[in-house]
Amino acid sequence: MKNSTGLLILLVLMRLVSMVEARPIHYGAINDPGLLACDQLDWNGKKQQAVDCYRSLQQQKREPAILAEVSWALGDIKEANTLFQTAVKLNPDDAAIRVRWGELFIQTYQYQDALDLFKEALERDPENAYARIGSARALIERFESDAVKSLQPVLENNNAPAGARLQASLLLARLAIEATSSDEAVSQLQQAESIATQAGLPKLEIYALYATLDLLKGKKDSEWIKKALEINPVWGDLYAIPGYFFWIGRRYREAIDLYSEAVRIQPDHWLAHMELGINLLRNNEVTRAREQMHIAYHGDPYNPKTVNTLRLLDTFVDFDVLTRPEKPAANLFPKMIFRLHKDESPVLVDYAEQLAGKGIDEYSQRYQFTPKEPVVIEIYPNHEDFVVRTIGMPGVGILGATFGYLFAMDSPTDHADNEYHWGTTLWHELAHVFTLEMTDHLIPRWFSEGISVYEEWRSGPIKGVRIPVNVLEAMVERKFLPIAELDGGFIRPSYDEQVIVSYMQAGLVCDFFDQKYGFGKIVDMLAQYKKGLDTSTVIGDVFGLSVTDFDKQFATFVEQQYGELLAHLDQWKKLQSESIKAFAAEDWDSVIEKSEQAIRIFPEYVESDSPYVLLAQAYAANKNVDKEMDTLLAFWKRGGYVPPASKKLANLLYQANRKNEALEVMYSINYVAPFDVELHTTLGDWMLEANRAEQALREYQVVLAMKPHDLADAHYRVARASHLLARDDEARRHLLAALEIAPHYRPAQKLLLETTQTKQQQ
Amino acid sequence: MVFATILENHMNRNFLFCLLFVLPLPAMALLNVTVIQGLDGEAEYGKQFSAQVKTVFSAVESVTDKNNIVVFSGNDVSRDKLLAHFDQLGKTLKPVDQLLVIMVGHGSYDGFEYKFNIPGPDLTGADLVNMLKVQTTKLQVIINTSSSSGALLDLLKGDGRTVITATRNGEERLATRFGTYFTNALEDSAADINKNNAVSLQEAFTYAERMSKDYFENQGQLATEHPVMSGDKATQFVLARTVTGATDTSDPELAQLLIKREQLDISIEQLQLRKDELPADDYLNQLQQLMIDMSLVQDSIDQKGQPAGEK
Repeated sequence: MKNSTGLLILLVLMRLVSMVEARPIHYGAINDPGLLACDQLDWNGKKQQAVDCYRSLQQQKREPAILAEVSWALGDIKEANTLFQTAVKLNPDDAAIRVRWGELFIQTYQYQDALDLFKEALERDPENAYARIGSARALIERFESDAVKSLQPVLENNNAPAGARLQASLLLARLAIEATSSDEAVSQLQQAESIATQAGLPKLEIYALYATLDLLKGKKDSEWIKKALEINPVWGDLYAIPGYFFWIGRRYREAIDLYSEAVRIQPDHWLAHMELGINLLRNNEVTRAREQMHIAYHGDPYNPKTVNTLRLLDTFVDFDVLTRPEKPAANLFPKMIFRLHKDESPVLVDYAEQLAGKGIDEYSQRYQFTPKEPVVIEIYPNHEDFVVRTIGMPGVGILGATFGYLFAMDSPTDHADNEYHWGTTLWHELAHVFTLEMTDHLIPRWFSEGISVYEEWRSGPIKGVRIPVNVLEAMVERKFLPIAELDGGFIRPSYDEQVIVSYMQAGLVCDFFDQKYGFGKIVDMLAQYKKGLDTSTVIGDVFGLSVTDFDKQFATFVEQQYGELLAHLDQWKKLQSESIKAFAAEDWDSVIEKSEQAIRIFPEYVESDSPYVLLAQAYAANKNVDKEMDTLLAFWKRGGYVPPASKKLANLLYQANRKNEALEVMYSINYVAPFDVELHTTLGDWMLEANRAEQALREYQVVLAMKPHDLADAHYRVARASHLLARDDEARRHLLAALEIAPHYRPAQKLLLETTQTKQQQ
Repeated sequence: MVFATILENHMNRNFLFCLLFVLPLPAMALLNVTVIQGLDGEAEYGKQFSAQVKTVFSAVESVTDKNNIVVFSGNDVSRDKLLAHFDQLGKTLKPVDQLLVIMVGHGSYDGFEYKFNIPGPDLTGADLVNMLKVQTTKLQVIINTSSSSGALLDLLKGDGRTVITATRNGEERLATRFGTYFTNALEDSAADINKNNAVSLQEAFTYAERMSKDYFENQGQLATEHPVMSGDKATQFVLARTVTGATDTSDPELAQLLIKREQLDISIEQLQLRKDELPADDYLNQLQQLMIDMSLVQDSIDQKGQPAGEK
């Protein structure tokens, strides 16, 4: 993780040193007729003439700000950066230069630097509309919701330059498309077209966005594409712009087609090659992806997304690709394919296969959908590698991402706190595979996330509705969104915790559907979304409700389910806090009293600081083993999964001769913290005791794969289980391996005599 | 007692074999242990250091007479006392004897000089060099679990000396975890990799190094210490025995069995040295036969109440 971050910084710095990248359309922040003349040639697809024109400006030794634009247009970002720097020094009060410099930073993904420059520009010229537009763009790139606040005033200000107003309309149109508000998008584009016509500004982006709307509706022969091609037949953004909207809408296969078109008409569109590569990777087309990334790298070796992704691809040699079943029946594809790091695959693969196999079977039955391809599951030991695999850049706090039949997720090894239940993440992402594929990726984000959360709660490895306290607080403050706007809570959150609040709301909505109308309605909704219908229509068709009526019903449901808890939330928080304080003071009677009260108010709270955990420890301190065990069991049954608590519970159950339960609890730790030699050794021993030698062998093999300190013992245990399974060769091999390390290891010596004598007797 | 401190490798086993059964009475080598507990700085460290020293004492008591163990802690520690102690050892220990020095506490390094923090003037790296220089014992082991202890590596290594430090250089200045893990190894049977009921210096170091690495990985932290061991006597040097029991050498049958076991050990080691030369099946078949023989011998020894492993 740290290395990747370091790499990013390095790459960003390198990118400013030199880079070859197309310059976005310049809408006139710097007003210069000579530059405009060259730009117009460029917009009209007269590439060579444009290059000649820019070079002539260079020869004229124009002022640094213009020469910066020229260098940028000619692909020399390093020089452009230097020239902007010089220009700013020479003209410290010129807001326009800082605006354009900021826009250069946006292109190099350095949004905070860009924002700083726009801020500086506004300090010098508070009325500079281009600076406001620049700020909005940087915020949009960071998926922040405040962007609109800067745009509307510019649009409404008739004194603002046409180029700024045009950009405001274009950005608002983009946001509207993203929010699937096509009417609003069209309205903005009409306004943009009017401004462009009056001011003689280029309309290429307007046409590309109109084309996007057509393509999103399934209209492939959009007239807007033809219109744009007539103006500029080599403008790759005509396809790359819609490509962007398809990939953020998780329609990766169509994005691949669009980026392919972009690079077909503009082979030197390195960004499009890069995006094509990333989307091919999302579609598990690794070889083609690598080809495209190499092309992108050849053209622009300093793009951090390109370099990060290529470096990630280089690490694929360290991964095992494992198909399950290993040998599928004739004419059948394997059910699952795992890409797991070689250091981790021997530990993870069986547990991942077991859970994913169960999930595929259950989901196939419930959603009446059979996967048409193998489900590809990638688990990354380095979180930032996983994020780069997802978006090309590090630095995003997500745990899993599904691209269709392929999903990628974090390995538990990257979560030292043991609070990451990787089994639940796998279950969550697997649900996305079904909801995406059975709707041809047309399901809205809120519903896809809602179903995945709902499945975590109702069918996942740790069952039970788990709503974080901060979400409950948001519920108290009535922060749930109307269903028609719920997608916005995921894509452009307006406050820090809105994403998690939206997840929980979406999960509750699905729970509501199930409880009030039956699970079948969820499947019906999926069928409707596959037709390309929007949420209002789907709610109307499936439930006969308007979205407003639906919101009212849902609010009633939330009140019925959580009203009592929400009314006592403050009291619970107080009790929880008092329990923790009493715990610190080792006042066990007080811990018991406060924790029990807290549990009565909010029995579903099973995070690591849960009152159950405190209560169990208080009982342990009072040497009340039965109550300690009962408390830990209640915690575990409600979905508590803190590994030390689970281990303690398993051992208590084992000591109480409740061995099957002990095994079940101990086994559940595999989906939280599987890289634990003691865990697998104990599981193996208990399974052997329960005459489950096959499973015991698997546990012991996991121990061996972890290269434990006590290697002789690990070999010995594998040998013992193998011997019980009459796998003599394997038993002999491991026994000798144990004795080779520890010739005096008595248990191994005894087993050796036993096995050889048995063989002689046979 | 002496033999407990030696020798697990092939050459030394042969030597032991000769000593036991060919020579009438070998010269008795003596293991002398000096444990130095430095200043704690904070009460919590004080508890940790005292616990570590206690464990070390208990462990080395299983391999040498307690009269040969000296512990400096609390107000007993001073630079002068330590210098005098080692000066005296230099005069009394013989070349065949062995010297084990274990230092538990905090260290510091200012870019030029290492200092082990004790009451009064600190003990410097130069002091340590001088203290060890006057020793005539051939086999010297120094273990320093303090912060910055890696600064001592270049100063102390060489002359056949085995040096273990908690850090790889003087720049790793944070309080270390290595000492805790190293002393844990002395009483954890899991540290006994070869199951001979004895924990060698090598085994203790491997255990502690791994535990230390695992700690930082499990915490998701960059490691602030990297233990280092230099010298080549670590596998031979036994720090603790996990099973104790005297050998009844008056029983001739048991003596023969022990000789047989020793011979088998040698044969096994010789076979292992030829592993790469032999076809895999041949190697495994021969190994299996030797291990069966070893197991049968051990069965017989067990019947006479003699523990397995370390002789």
